[in-house]
Amino acid sequence: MSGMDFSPFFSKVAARVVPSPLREFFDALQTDETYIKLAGGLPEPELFPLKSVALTLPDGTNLEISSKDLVAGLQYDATAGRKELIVFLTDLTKRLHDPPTWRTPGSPDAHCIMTSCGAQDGQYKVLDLLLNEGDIILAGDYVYPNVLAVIIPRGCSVQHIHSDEQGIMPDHLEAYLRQWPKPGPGQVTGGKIKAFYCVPNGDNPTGIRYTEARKKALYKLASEYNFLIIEDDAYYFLEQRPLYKSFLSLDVEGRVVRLDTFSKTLAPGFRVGYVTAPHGLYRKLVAVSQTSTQGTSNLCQTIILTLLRKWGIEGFLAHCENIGAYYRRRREACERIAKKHLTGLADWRSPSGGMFLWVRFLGVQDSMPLVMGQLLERKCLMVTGSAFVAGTDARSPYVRISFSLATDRKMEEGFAIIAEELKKIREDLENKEQ
Amino acid sequence: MKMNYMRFLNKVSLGRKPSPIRVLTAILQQSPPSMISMAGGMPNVGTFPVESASFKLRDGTHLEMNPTLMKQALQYCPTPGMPGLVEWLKTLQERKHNQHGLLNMESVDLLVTTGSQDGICKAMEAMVSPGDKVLVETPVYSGTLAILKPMDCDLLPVRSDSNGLDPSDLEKTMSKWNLSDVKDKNSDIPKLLYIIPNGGNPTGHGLTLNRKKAIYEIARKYDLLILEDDPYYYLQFNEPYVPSMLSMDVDGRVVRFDSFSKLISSGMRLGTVTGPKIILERISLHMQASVMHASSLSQMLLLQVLSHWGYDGFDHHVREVTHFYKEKKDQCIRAAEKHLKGLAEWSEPSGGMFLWLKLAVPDTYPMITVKARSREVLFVPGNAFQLDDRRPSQYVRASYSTCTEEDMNTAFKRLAGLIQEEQQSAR
Repeated sequence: MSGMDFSPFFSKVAARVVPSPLREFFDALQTDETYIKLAGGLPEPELFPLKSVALTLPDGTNLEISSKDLVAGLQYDATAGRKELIVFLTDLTKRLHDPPTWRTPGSPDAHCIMTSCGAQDGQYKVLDLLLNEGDIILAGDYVYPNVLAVIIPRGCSVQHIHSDEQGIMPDHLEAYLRQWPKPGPGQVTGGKIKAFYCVPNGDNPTGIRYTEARKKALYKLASEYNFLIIEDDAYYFLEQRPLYKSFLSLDVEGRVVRLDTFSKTLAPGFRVGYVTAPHGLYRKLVAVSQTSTQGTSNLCQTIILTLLRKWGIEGFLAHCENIGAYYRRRREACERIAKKHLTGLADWRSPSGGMFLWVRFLGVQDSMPLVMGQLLERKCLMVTGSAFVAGTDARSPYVRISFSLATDRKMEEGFAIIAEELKKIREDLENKEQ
Repeated sequence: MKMNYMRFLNKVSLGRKPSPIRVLTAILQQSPPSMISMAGGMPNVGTFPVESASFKLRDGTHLEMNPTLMKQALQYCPTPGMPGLVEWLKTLQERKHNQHGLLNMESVDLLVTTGSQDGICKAMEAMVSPGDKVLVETPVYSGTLAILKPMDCDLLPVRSDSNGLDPSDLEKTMSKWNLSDVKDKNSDIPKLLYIIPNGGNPTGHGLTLNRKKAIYEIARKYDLLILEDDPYYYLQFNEPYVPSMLSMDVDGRVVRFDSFSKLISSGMRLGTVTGPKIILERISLHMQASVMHASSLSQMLLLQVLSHWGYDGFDHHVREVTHFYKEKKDQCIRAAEKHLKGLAEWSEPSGGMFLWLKLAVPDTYPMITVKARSREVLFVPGNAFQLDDRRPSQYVRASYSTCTEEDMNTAFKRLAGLIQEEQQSAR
């Protein structure tokens, strides 16, 4: 396997980012106790007011954070993350994805893991490294708006590629890419197609799930047209078993960047996620983290580590399955109630996972006036489909309905209101036609 | 003077729009419980892995985070910060920086950031355009250099001495432009000035009040925005503290960065940005697309500690911290006087954690990275704080924060040996 050349992918600014050679020198020496160190600007931990932390879990168990762990959690630490947490995540990643770049010892592109402030921050940092003005990111018909918020202000664009219930359709993608010649070594397609972004399980907002076959076909195109694959897999752990093979598990060339998060499996308030990236990208990711967030809350990493140590990998996966089952029950309730009120007025495809129902209002071209108008007035909140499409003139008949928080009663009320409003629109249209 | 903030914001920053989902979340948070939300993809609090927590402080107090508070601590929170915490911190800023009532608090906002470093990073990314010139006092904090160097901008050095940035050098630098250049969109007149006004990193020096006033006048004259990076404000060794640039900011041209890393915890990643609403809104929009918000759990814990202390308790804690570092500083100066007389020069830090030593050698970088290894002692070579790190520097930065007095003496003794060795081999 020849090494991936990342130079055509980095933005002009990213090309100038270098990990500080001084930092690398010091990091190498930090562990050596014989050195007297007056180098690092570490505050004196004895002055931190917090002395001990004890957690109570929902099942009543008590977990004490050891004082050694707490001191580490309250102090500056390696930007890439607490070492013990990285070790756990490495074991977990090996178990679930068996990355091909890890099968050859000493591979220069071997994936490395870095913690981030949630997957959102990971996705931001990756895109930030890649984008020059005018660059293009490939995505499905609908994309999580916060991704658009990173790309569009940079003067870059998202190319929406037609998708079905298994994800982006390779034929459509190939047809789009064929307008340029295949890139030579050290080139990207058209000089500007940097990456393909997807949420392959319980996609936000459409709820679709990429099959292994579909992933393989897309990987082949990524290889032919030399673009990276950003696999944003926030809902992976909640999925019904068996889990589908990830892009990471197919990544023989070192072109997949995988984003994971604890936001849906543990809690979003921690702001802890992790990025699994080929080494050439990882080095720059750590460097840009050094100049911005300097990692993520070590205290939260420490609490998560304490929980994970208690559960072990099996316990963590079992915990995730329970949460997944909980959201599936909420989804069933949501669909049942939606069906009751909205049959004939709206349709949707049953989501494979995630937290959302992607509902199309029938006989409506643009859901925005209704959602931000009468529905908002009647205190019923949901997200318009147009929020998920690049371009200020986007119109969509879809709405994204979240079933994660709403109770059955609230959903009954909500869907009843939506049904009333849709009926009104239908009646108005019929009256106009007469 | 009415500030035109559009002058300072770059194209990318101005292109940022609020996330529709965060807007809906904000509506939800301000709404009565009768609101039916199927908007945000917020996880259900029933799935959170921690029910409650108990925190013990060094003074023996127990703080309880009950299930209600814990749910809030584990859920997404608004981008600018947890509401209760933002309120507490805004009041702190008013107490500390608005004693003379010069600030227009209506147009000042505050954001909680993932450490002040991220606040500075996001501010630079909002305001530096390709080709811009940015004024930085030199020597300059290496972390800020790391943000600015990859950007397509020119760094203009402004000299500093034992009283901080030298206003006459700032005026001299700016005098290359005409006052009319301020209104000229095509001019490359600098717009941003970055300073660490107290307990500087690396120098440990602090600006006097007169110098701060002079700098502010120059900023008014040339319409500069001042980025006041002040993590050591509460670590000033002399009271009363020198008032901040924010406290004299009648125009609204100061963006101030505070940090809890030296006071409460560096690992919790908590800092604040305080400044004009229009600028802070841009930083907040950037955060929406990246970190989303500083860790809710870190914020909740900080709020609990601060609420428990109250403003007086906070002052008391800060004094204890400063007293500790002042003693350390004294130990460090004594050790330097004992071992480095004739081999190095330094001036007394006014606050913070660092001693900036000028050694009687031509270049400290090879000395530290190669020879210090054999002497088993570590300092940061001064070139890390220069705009051009390839040029030689005679300086090293010594941190006295975590070193025992004994170790400081051993370290300086070894350093003295190193310097003498260098001088010998030069002959």
